[in-house]
Amino acid sequence: MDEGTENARRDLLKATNLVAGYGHQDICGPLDLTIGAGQALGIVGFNAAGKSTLLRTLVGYQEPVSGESIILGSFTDDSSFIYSKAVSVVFDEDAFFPSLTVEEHLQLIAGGHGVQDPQSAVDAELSFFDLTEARTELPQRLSSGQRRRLLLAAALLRPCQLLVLDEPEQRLDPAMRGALAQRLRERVNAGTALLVITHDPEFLRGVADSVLVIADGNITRVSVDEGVEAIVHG
Amino acid sequence: MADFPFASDAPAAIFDDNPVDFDPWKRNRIAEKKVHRENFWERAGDAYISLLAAAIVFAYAAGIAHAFSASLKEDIGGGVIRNEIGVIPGESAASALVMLGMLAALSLISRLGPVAVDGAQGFWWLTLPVSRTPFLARLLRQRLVTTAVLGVLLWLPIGYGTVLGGLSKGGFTGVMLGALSLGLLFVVLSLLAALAQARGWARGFKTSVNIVILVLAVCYGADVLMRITGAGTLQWFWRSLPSVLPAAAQEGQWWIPLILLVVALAGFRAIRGHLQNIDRNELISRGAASAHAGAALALLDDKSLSAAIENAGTKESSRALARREHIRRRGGDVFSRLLPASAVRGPYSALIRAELLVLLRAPGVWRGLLAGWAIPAAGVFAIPGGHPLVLGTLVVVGCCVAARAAATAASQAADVPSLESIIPLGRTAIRQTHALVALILLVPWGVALTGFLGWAVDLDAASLPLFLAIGALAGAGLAAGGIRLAYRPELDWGSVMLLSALGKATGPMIQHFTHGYDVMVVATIALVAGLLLTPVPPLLLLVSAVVAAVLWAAGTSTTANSKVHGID
Repeated sequence: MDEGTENARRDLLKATNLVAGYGHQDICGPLDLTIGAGQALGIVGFNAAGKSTLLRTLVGYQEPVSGESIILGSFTDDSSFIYSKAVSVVFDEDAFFPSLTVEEHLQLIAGGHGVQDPQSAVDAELSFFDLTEARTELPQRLSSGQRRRLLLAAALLRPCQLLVLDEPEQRLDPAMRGALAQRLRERVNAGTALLVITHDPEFLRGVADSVLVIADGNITRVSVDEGVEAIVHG
Repeated sequence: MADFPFASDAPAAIFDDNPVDFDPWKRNRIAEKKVHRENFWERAGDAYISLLAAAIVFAYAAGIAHAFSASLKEDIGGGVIRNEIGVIPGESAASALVMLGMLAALSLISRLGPVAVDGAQGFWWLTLPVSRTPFLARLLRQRLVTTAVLGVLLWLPIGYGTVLGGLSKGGFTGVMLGALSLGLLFVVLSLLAALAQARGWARGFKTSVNIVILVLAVCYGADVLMRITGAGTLQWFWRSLPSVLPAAAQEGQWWIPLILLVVALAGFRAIRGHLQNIDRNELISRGAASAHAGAALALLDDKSLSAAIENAGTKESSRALARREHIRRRGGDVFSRLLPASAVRGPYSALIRAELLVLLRAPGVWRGLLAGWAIPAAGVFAIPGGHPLVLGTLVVVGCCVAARAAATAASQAADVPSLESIIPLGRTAIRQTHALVALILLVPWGVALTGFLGWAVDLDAASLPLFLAIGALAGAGLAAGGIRLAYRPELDWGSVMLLSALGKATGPMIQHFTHGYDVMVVATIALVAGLLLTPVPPLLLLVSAVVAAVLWAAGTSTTANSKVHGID
């Protein structure tokens, strides 16, 4: 790997003049942004401000109206193996195999990502997300909160360089929110980059280094305190 | 909460671009087997019911095909159409019809995939750093087998019907060869659609299919003109279409399915290597459309099925989006300026304006009206189309297609009852307004159809005005039928099977599926009778006026829905 590519990969995500939206209709932007290893960026804004649209566009799940977003120097195509290895994404949508248990879903992720000692890793996530009792349950028997925790467990089970979470605090109890925030912060401190949408001021304070506030289609990068203020007072 | 040393939380490594050696399909199969073993008897029961249902459908379809072909064989040439315009031989017309069916199948296959993943596969499999080729190839293979089986099942009743009716010399082996050929043709079509997906040609592919349909229609018209004017024929064209292959195989050309099999195997091998390139969003959106269509099929909801197919993978082109943005900036399109909101003077005119805007903007409405007219017109120019049974069937089918299209706005409104609840009009008044708009379209449509049919059957000058009036009245009845279909109540699954003196009966289900079509078919009876009874008796006009009035009341009445929804 040459030095240029190596440097580009240190900038895990680079957005240039990015406008998110549908077709030709702008939702928010433009945005210039670079995220490197060990950085955590929160995204806040009112409902329908375009937070999820922006996040989907940043990680290449949706085409931008204009501008570009590059992952790891050159990848926007999620069919590349390096993208799948480096980027872990959980949006606010779920789908499960009806015949696979909770544990089997996690084993699938562990096996697919070549996790060392997969069963220990699965056991650890089941315990962290309080799913040990439900490990043999099929998805249709899970509560909405358990399904949410299973998705988060799948995202955190595997190694990655960029973690992308859309309102991870939703449907979690306060204790779990706190534990998750702490764990995400530890992971960021260890070098993972984090992009997270949240409506929870405490959660934001616990994980983020800086914040993007989306209002009236404009995106402003602010400090965490200002981001918290934006959530609380609008 | 225990403090676990999470391996994944360690400092992130630099990843390489090599796949992990892991097969998610195999992993799922191993896990799923445990669950499926428990449901063995349930699955066996489902398989038995499916087989029984297929056998019953086959028996009915083969019986109808037999009766139809036997009737054609006896009465061929003794038709009601003028001899000089019924010029396309049955063989060519059948080739065009089967080709059209194959193109429709191709369009359907490309809308629903053929390579597609469901939501779970999209989330859990496509995010893995593994080669997608093996599991996408398996998913494609499953679809190919399904389409092949459908092709075989589709041909079997046609093949047996034509053999039993004396139109074909092929025996049991011939029918099997024909069925196999159609099944393999469907596989080849699916592979074409898969190639378009892998190359990112989905939009161009859809356009190509439409162009081929247009070419087919133009060639049909050209052949008619050439034959009528004695300028030759396009027989060679119809004989060169792939649609003749199943019939040729049935007549003993055993090498046809063999060649198709070789083409299918080679095509699959060639496409397999490109499956990794298919875009994730493409795979998921086709999977969602397939799931929607599958659920609609399982619930026997044909309206939802149509919506699933029409909306499958709908993504506006950048040109269309730019146009829409331009319209938004200008504050409306040409139709909204043509029918300005300032002209609205009350709830009736507001509803009529909204409905006209929907009709003007929905290209499906005009396609439906055109297709409804083209179906009997195509039959008129074919030799078998002169047979009263064939012509009558084509007229009824064409009328139903047109009535459905004209009631598009009502159908959309029926899907969102809350929209109508904000209009200060009674439910019957709303339906009558919907019917009035459909009537505005269908009366001239009916007059144009009867004018054309009157010319085709060489109606005498005295009968023509009567026949045109019958066409106008049929249009009114069809409008009422379209509205009745649009407001068809949901199937009440609690009363699908009723106990009768003869055992369980499926009355409510049949009643559900014929709701709307019953009125449409009755509306066309006088029209079809007018074709066969020359000169047209004046009494027929009186009868059709009474029938139209009764149908109008039946189509716009709200009693049936009130019972089901428990309102009013």
